Amino acid sequence: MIQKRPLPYLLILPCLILLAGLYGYPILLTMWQSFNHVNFLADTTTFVGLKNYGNVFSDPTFWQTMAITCKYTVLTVVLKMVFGFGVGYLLHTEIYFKKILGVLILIPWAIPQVAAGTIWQWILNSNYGYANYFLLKLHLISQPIAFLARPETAFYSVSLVDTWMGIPLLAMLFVAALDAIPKNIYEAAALDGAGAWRQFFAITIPSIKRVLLVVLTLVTIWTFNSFNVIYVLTQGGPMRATETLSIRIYQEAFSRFNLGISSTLTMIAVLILLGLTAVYTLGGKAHAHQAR
Amino acid sequence: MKKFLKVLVSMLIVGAIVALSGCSSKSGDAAKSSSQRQTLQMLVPGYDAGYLKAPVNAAIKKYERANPDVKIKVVSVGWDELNSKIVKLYQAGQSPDILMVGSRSLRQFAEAGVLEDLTPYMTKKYEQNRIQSVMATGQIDNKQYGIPLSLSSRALFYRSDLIDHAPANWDELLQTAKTVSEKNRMYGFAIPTDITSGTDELLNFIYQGDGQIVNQQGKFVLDSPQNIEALTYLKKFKGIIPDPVDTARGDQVKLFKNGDLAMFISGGWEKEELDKGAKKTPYKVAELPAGKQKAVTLVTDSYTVSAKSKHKKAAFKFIQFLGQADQQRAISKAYNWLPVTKAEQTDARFQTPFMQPFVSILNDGISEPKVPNWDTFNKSFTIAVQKTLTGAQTPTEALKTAQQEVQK
Repeated sequence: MIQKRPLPYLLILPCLILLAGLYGYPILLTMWQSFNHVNFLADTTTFVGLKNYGNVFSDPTFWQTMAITCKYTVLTVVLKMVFGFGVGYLLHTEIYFKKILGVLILIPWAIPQVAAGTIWQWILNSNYGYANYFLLKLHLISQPIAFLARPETAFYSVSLVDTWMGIPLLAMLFVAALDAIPKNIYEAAALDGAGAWRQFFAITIPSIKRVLLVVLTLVTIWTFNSFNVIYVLTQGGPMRATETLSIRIYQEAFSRFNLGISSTLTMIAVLILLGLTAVYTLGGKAHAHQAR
Repeated sequence: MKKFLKVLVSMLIVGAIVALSGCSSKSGDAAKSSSQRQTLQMLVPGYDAGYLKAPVNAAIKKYERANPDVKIKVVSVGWDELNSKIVKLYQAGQSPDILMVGSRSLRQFAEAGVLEDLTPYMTKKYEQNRIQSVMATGQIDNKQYGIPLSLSSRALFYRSDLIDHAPANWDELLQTAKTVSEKNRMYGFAIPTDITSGTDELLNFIYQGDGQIVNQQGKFVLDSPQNIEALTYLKKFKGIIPDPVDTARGDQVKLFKNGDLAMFISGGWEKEELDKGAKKTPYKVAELPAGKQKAVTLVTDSYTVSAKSKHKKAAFKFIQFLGQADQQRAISKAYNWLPVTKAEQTDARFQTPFMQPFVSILNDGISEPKVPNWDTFNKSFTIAVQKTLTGAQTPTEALKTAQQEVQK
C-alpha cells in the first residue's frame, strides 16, 4: 500500500541510506573495478572498458571453472534438497527420540565450517584417514582411496561434505513447513480413501511448494557461492578439479592480486545468481496466481 | 517512594559522572604515555603455531628494556596466508612496519612498491658481519630489499637399520627405494607436492638435473628438456611412494616415525620429531643424492620494511638488533636453520653429524627462483608435477601447459 504522508518515508530514510551504503557501495565499486585494471598494491586504477570481460571469456580455463561450478551446484543442491527433505520428513513423523534426534541433527550445522572442513580432511586422508581405515577393515576396498587427491573423488567428496553441512538447516525448515500443514486435511483425505503416496503428492507437496521454491533458491545461491568447505578441503585442487567460481574469484584477488579480473568474475557470478533468483521468483508468483 | 526514586536516580547520575571523569583522566594519561612511546608493528608468520614465538618474544623484551621509548607489537599470521595478509594490510593502510617474508616473494612486493629499499641503510660494518651469498638472496636488481633471517638447505633422512649406505646419486636413490620398499612392505621414498612447501623439495630435482625455472634473462623455461627429464625420473617412483598429491612435506616425518617410510628429503627442523621416534625408527642424515650435478634449493626468509612505514629508521634499527649474534643464534636454533651471520658459522651446532650434510652442500646451493608472482608459478608448477606423477599427462604435456599459464 502506498502511503501519501511523507513522515513514514522520512522515518525509514536513515535505514535506506545505511542499506545503500552497506550494499550499494560495494556492488557499485565491484562493477566499476570490473571495467578497470586495478593495481591492488600501488592503489592505481586504469580504465580498460570491456577488456577484462574479453580476457575472461577468451580464457579456456574460465569455461572449465564454469563447468565445474555448474556441475558442483546442481549435484550438491540435489543432494541437499533430497537429504534435507528426507531428514525433515523423518523428524516430522511420529518417531521415537524425536527431540533428541532433532538436536543431534543440528550438530553439523553448529560446528564452524572451517573446523568441520578440517575434521573431514583428516577423515578423508589417504594415508591415515578414518574413512580408509574402516573401509579397509571391512574389506570393502583393497587399496586406500585418495579421496581428496584425485580430481574425480575430490569433486564428489567435497560435494558430499558440503551436503552434510547443509542438511540440518534444510531439515529444520522442512520440519517447520510440514508441521504447519493442518492434520485434518490428511484425515479427510484418508476418509476419502487416499493412500500414503496419494496424500504425499496431493497434499504434502502442494502445501509446501512455496517453501520448497524459497529453499531451493537460497540453497542454489549458497551452494553456488560455497567457499569455506572447498577452500579448507582442497583449495580448488587437486589439479583444479574443485576450482569453482568463488575459489577463482578469491585466488585472482589474493594470489594473483588481479582485482580487475576478480571483480569481473564477481559480476558474472552476481548476474547468474540474479537470473536464477528472477526465475524462481517469477515461478513462485505464477504458482501463487494459479493457486488463486 | 517518589522521593526515594529521585534520590536513587540522582545518586546514579552523580556516580556515573564521577566514574566517567575518572575514566577520562585515566585514558588521558594512557594516551599521553603511549604517544611518548613509539610503537613498531612486526608481522611474524608462524608466530602462534611454530618455534619462533619464544626467541622473538625474548628479543622484543630485551629491546624494549634497552629502549623504553619503543614498543614492539607482533602481528601473527599463518605461513599459508602470509602474502595475502600482507596485501590486505597494505591495501587497508595498516601495513606493519616490519614484515617477515619468504625471500621468493621479494621481487613481487618490491616491484609493486610495497617494500622499502634498504640499500641506503647498509653500512660496511653491517655487511661485513653477514654472509654475502646469503645477503644476496635478499637483493632484487642489486638493491637490498630483505635482510635474511633464516637459511635452510635440505638433506636425505633414511632408516639406518634398513639401509646400509645412503644413496649418492639418482640411480642409487631409485634402486634403494625399490629394494627397501619390496623387502619391508613400506614406502621407499616420498615426493610431496603440497602447495605450501612441496615446491622447494621438487626444485632440488630440477636443479640436480641442471634445470632452471627462469633463465638468465629472467624468462620462464618450465618446459626445458632438463626439467622434462627431471619429472620423467620422478615418475619412476610410482608405486613405492605415498600418494604424491595427498602427501605434504610435513606428513613425511609422521610416515617415517610410524615405520611406513624409509627415506625422505626435508630440513633440519625435523630433528625433534625424528629423535622422538629414534628408538623405533633409527635414522641417519646424508647429503642429497646428485643427479647430473650436486644441488640443493636454498631457502631464506627475510626481514623487510614496509614502504608505508612512518618509522623506517626505527624499524631498521630493530632489525639490526635482531641480527646481532645473541638474538640471531636463538632464532636460527629454533628451526635448526643454517648460519646467516659470520659469527654463527663456527658454532659447534653446525659440526654435528646431523647438521653436516646440510652445511657441506651449501656451496652447491641454488636459490629459489625470484619469479614475478610466486603463487601463480607455484600453482602451475605443482599441478604439472601432480599431473605427471598421477599419470594424467606426460611430463612434456604438463610442463608445456604450466609454461603457458605462467607466461600469461
